[in-house]
Amino acid sequence: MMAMSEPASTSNKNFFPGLFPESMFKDAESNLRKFGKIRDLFANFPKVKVGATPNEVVFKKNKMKLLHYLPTAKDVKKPPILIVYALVNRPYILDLQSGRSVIQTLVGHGFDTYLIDWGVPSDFDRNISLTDYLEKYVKRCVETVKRESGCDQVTMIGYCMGGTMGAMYTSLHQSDIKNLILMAAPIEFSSREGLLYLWSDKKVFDVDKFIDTFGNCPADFLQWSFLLLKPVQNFFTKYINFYENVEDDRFLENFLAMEAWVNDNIPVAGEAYREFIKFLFQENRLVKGELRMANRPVKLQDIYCPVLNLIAEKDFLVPPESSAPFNNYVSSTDKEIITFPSGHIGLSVGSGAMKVLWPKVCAWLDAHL
Amino acid sequence: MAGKNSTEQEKTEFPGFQFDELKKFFEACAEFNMKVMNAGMNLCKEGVEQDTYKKFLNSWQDALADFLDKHLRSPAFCNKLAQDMTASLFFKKHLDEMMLTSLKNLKLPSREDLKELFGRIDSLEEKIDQILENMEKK
Repeated sequence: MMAMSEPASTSNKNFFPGLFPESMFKDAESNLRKFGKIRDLFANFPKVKVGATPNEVVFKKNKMKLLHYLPTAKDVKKPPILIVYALVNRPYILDLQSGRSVIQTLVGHGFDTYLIDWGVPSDFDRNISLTDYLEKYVKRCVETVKRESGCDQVTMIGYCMGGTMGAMYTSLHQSDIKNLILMAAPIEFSSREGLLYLWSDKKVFDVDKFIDTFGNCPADFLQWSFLLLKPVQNFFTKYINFYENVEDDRFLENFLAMEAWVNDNIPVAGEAYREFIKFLFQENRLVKGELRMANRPVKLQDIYCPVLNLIAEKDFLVPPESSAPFNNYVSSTDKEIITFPSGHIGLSVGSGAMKVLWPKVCAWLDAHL
Repeated sequence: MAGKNSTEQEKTEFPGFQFDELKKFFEACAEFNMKVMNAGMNLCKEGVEQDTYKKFLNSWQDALADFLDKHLRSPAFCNKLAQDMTASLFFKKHLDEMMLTSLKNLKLPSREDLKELFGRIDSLEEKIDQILENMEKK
């Protein structure tokens, strides 16, 4: 009996003093708990809920839907806001969860808010060009928003590639736009500091051959390109953080919602992708004033409405040197830049952005009604 | 002569094995190892504490991120990327062509046929949109 009880009494002893810290043995219980939690998580994977604000579809064309977020305030502020999202990834990042939603913030401040959800292009959409997106889709959305709201103009918010498209649209149809807000929008493509800009270079990437072969730009290709920009962070650090915080339910909820979005990539219509890479990433035509859409020149100097340019300081996807020069090219006299210390996605879901940045944007919008 | 020129051009566009690039790669590897070793030595001097492993892990992650970033933006990697992409696109193109021939032989509609059909539906949709728009205006 003694022989059996003895090992139990010495089981907590550190047999390698100095080599392993005591904390390692103390942490063993916590590690076991975490493994148990991960096992339970995979056994009963929770349904990840994304999208916080109620909305209705007010216009549909092909795969695209124009969503109207139902106002919660008694007095709805005009002009309405039309958000143009990028053709890559899904737009629900702007309405990810309650408390982490740009749209919820805007609606909560009384703004009449609409969002363009481009949907998922199929093989049959490979011929949709940037001109088609601007002249057939965005234009129809702007007209619908104007008709629904009874206003002559809209405030346009463009996020990432949607910001570039918003800038193009505004230069072509300035009379439709009251204010323009860009969120981490790539405008100046001459720098090769960003990895995406380097990999899109003519010498590295033959976009013609790529699109001629694939039709559309595959979702997996985009996904891997984005993940490879920060390999250690995306393949290692993220999962270490997950392991360390797996017992925190709030962290877990946020983590799973983000993962759902990150892994929900969509293909991009081939022709639009070809034009975006060739005309912008490779030839930098927008700032050179050499871009033409629907037989009309797209010149940033034709933009004279109030402009607010939101820049993410730690953005490695769209570096600040790509988005900041926009204000130098437009003719607007009322223009402002807000540089926020976050990454590309942090601009739309970061807790700091929710507390500091978006109230500032709402104040700017209030001053430009 | 024409063949020789074409080969020379290919060599300029996609240089294959380059000693300089390999040397740079090994130098970067050595730099990464030095950083990790230095971080480890400094931590040993401080003595083993509760967060020593975390500190070492952070140093390793930083060094690896730095190393990979340098490698991912190196001309060697970019050239390899271009080479691999050209090869895989060539393969896929030929596979698609084979598939197209097979579908044609089986009298089945190909992607091109469906694309044409969709183009017609799209132009019809466009016309309906225009008619609706005109009706709304009236």
